Amino acid sequence: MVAAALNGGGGQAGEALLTLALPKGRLAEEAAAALRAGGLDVPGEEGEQELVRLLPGSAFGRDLRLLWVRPADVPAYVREGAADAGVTGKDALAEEPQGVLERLDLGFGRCRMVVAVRRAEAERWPARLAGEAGGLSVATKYPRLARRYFLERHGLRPRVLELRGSVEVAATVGMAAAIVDLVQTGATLRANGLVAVEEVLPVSARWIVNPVSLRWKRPLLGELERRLAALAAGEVAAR
Amino acid sequence: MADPTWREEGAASALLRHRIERTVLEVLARWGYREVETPLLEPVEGELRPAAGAGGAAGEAGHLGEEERWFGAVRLMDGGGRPWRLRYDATVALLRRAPELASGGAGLRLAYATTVVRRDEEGEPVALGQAGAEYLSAPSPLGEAEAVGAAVDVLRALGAGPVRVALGDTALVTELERAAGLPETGEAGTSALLEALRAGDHVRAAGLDRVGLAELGGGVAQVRERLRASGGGAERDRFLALLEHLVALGLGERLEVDLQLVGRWPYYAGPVFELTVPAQGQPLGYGGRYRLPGGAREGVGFALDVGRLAALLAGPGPRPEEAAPDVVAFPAAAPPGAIWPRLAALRRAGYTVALAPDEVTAFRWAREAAAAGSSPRLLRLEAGGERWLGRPPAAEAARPGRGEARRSDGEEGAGAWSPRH
Repeated sequence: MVAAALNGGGGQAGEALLTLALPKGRLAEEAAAALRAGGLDVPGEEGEQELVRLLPGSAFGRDLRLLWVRPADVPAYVREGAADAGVTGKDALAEEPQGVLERLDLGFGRCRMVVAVRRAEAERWPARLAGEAGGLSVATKYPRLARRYFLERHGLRPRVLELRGSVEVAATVGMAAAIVDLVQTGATLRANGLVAVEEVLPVSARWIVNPVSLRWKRPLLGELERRLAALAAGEVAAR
Repeated sequence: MADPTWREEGAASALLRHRIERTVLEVLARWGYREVETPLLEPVEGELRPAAGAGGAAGEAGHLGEEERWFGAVRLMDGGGRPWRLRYDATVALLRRAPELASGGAGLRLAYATTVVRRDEEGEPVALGQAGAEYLSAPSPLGEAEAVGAAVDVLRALGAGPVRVALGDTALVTELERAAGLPETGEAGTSALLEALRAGDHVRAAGLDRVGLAELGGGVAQVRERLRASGGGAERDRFLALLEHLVALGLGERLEVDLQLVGRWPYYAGPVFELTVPAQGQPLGYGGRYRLPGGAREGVGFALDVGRLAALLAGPGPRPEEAAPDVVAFPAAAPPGAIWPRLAALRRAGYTVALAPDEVTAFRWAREAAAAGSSPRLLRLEAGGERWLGRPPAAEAARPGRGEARRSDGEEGAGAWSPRH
């Protein structure tokens, strides 16, 4: 039965089972801790090694299945119904907003999404936007969000270079005039000679839910949400 | 070669799509909806109304340009430089034809099963199957109740499994917001709360919600009580009346009121609903009362996502038509002349009949159908007659010389059949 539940992949998870998509990486431990505090019997970080994990009876007596995936992929698992709910950063939702319900700000994993440029050019920002020869180029892991931001904020359609990581390098070597990326302490920007010039979006961890799961598993998800909301309220108040 | 615009072609064969479309139209015909076709290509010029002072290119401003952007419409240019637009939404296309179809003051019921083309998030054109109904100038709340009832009826006929209906109401939310103080207005001129809910952003909505929408939802009895205690006016009363109609339609147990549900599109102007089954991660369909800009374009309707339905029905479980036969017949040394005329007679009598190649297959089909909630009767067609295995359908049993009376071996067939294989 355990194997069957683990292998029961596509489509909506069964009604007796709660499936959560959780983010690997920087949000993993806090996400697991929040769910534990919310009453789920969720293992700590060591559980991440097993990407799909079935925990019988761990969700208020119901079976719990955890999918540990990249934070940017959490919305896709929830949108497609492979997971009933999940935890991911606001950045992933802003990049791919359709088809999931963003239900709670969990209050942890706070950082900022910013536009950053080389320190020497910070004074010319945003005047430089209009004068960039060959058009403005922006490097980012968030191409849709960056396009939307520059169009809405500056009325511009920059050339957007989509990168997978270490986006700072693109600005440092002049491949792009600016980057759009997450900043927590600013240390990486400083170490690479960059400075944040605009805030695009405040970011924190969000609890997202599949709209169909909300209809069919309302008691279970509702109870979990109530507990997470109480915890999040405490988290926000503590900051 | 498969049509590349049909992304779901692997799961949804053309045959299955067509069966779904046919079932939708047949069920809707029984509700008084007549099928209407709309043009695949429409000329753009002459219909656009650029907003005053707007400097954008043609089609980038004005009502229709705005509408095109909502849907991600695809335009084409012909050899003479004339712009055309591919059909991007069945409702919109149908409403453009409404003036020529108008039949008087009793409202106009139209059904469609068609293909629309829209751009996906990457800007690529994607073909989508839409099937549904429009009840133009529909009264309220009768029109909304009818739309929900017909949509559930269609899904039942398709064998889509247990369906739940979630019901919201944008007009009621607006009324409640006004009662709680002037709503904050967003970019589209509607309340900022409605805009946040449309985007699925309940975190932002919570910060704007002075009404407590989440607490006003739930089952029918609970919502009745809470809404009655909430104050409110005409929209609340109309919504409560709609609930009574839905309960009378037998949908009370399937219904969940969720006032955070306001519909994805900004043209929803009153009650909205979505239809879900547990096996699909996204709703199978949406509907509600809409008011489109650009003239008298108001009505109630719903649209089912044919691709999602096909994906659902292509998987394990019931299939339309094949899944819920009233009769599963199989030949036992019966010549063609003893098979086809008999099946034709049963079909003329209103039965859905599936012909299995042999007895084993017939029992398997009947067992699968029983597991899906229907109870077909088995009919053995023999060279010298026929034999019902178990009870024949009611009308057959009542016919003299039919059903059990035609047994050739005297076997007692009354009572519910039980699969033997």
